[in-house]
Amino acid sequence: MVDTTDNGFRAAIQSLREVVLPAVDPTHPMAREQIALVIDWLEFQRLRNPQLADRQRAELAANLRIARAVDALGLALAEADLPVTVARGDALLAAPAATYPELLAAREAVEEALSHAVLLAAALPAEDRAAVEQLVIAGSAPVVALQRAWFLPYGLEADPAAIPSLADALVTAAEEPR
Amino acid sequence: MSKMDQQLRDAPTSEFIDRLRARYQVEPELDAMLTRKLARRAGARMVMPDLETLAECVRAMLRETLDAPFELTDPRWLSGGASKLQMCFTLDWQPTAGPRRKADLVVRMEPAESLNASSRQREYDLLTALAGTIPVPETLWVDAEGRWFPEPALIYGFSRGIGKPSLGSRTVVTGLGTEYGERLRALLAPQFVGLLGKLHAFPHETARLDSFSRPPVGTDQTARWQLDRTRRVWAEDAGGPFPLMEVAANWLERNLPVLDVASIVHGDYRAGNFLFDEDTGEITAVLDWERAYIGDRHRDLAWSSSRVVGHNDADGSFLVCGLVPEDEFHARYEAASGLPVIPETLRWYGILNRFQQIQTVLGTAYRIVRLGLTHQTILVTRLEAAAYIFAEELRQALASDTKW
Repeated sequence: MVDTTDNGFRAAIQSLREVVLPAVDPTHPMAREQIALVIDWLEFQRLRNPQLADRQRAELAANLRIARAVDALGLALAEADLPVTVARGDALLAAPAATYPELLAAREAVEEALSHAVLLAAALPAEDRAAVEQLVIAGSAPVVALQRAWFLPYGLEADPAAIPSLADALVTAAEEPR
Repeated sequence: MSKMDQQLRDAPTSEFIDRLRARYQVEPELDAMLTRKLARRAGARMVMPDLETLAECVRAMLRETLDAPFELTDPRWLSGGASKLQMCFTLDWQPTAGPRRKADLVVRMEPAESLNASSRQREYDLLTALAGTIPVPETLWVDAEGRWFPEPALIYGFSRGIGKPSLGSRTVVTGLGTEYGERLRALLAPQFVGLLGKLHAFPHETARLDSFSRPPVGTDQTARWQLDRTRRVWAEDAGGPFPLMEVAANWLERNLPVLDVASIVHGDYRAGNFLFDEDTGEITAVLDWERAYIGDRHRDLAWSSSRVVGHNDADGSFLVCGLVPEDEFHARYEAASGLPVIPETLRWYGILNRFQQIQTVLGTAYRIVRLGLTHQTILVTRLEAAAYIFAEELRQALASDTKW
């Protein structure tokens, strides 16, 4: 049975470009500019839609690694509830049927716990605080790289050639570094 | 982010607002703007006015402001810009002093909520003070409280010039990654740097800028105000958690710099925020002064150097705003301003700026699109892509720091 999602994107893009845009008042530059941006956005979503779940899965995996490392420091961060959040995230990551909304919610929960841990760490001795913060800084690298690869088609990067491919960025974020 | 947090940000309670006001210390004028923003948010919606409606607002204002008859014709939209609504029109009127005039003017108005909560009165006061020193639009009238317009608005002269070259721009939004080419680069770069130097050396102490707070020199007050401003807006608007932002906030709090010289800070000085004559290469106007304040010049210096608004030249060297190599930018600025570039302070503001840029695109941009509060939702949505360029700059700056 055919999946028509991609066709829907194509139809919307063609409709705007070939029917709507030519009918827009040429003296209304904001309207014309916005239709062009909507077309651009739809083309981007069409390109990335098949990999939405892959992206969330990879982000969740990378954030879980940071959370495990921070928890392993054994500091006074109980209020951040890292162990419970990590356990839930791990279980979801291991579930092949995990849906996109579930992965998104789990990823946000881990980030929320990490943010809380960093806030709590500000009151710890300098060495302990630095250990937590540096784990977040280093561990964020693959997550940020993944986002830059994801949004590369928007053309905002000063040096696009320096950004890894989306496929490579997904693998790097998803997997434990060797 | 919990559902409750999203609900609080979408429809702030007075307790939520008061909690943020107590926790984060900002300039009094900014406190008023941010408090107003949140107090209105639950009931606010962007209703895009048509040209005739806006034109009628102008007429209503001028009927009460001018003594002699006037004629407003040819209202038309100005495109570009992610923040304010702008309409151009032709006015034939009798000024208070001098001969009758006919000129193209611009109405610049807030949407229901924009990327930056800012004051049209402050913008009006500053442009009036800078006229004759920096090329700025001629300011004429201000509706600071939204008496005649749906939202606060400013009317100023239409400045001739373009924001990006007629050929060679790589993106839709003016200013991001603008390619000027060799000829224009050689003409624009000295002016770009020179005007920044002039602005920072401007004698603001004697200018009429009552709506601006003046941070004391020799303290960290201005840095603290800027940090708390960003933290407050992040708390008000954030779409989701971002642990790296909390790390940055901690670092910024621990390393606040002391102010050596108080300057007028543009707040968004970059390619795309000035107009120029493509034939002569003359900068005809510096625009978008809504973020301006009195504070530390390093804020502007670091802002102009953001990777998102520059690009590499053919040899791979980074050009600040696509105009001047980074290693020359500071030297030329010091010569133009007579003010030193202090590396430690520049570094702090570089990190603050990335922190603020992420707050803008993942916080405020997210919130105003979600609630439909701007006329540029589809343009503002696109800005998310820039967040992670800023995030990597932030991450690397923090990673390389030794002040742990």
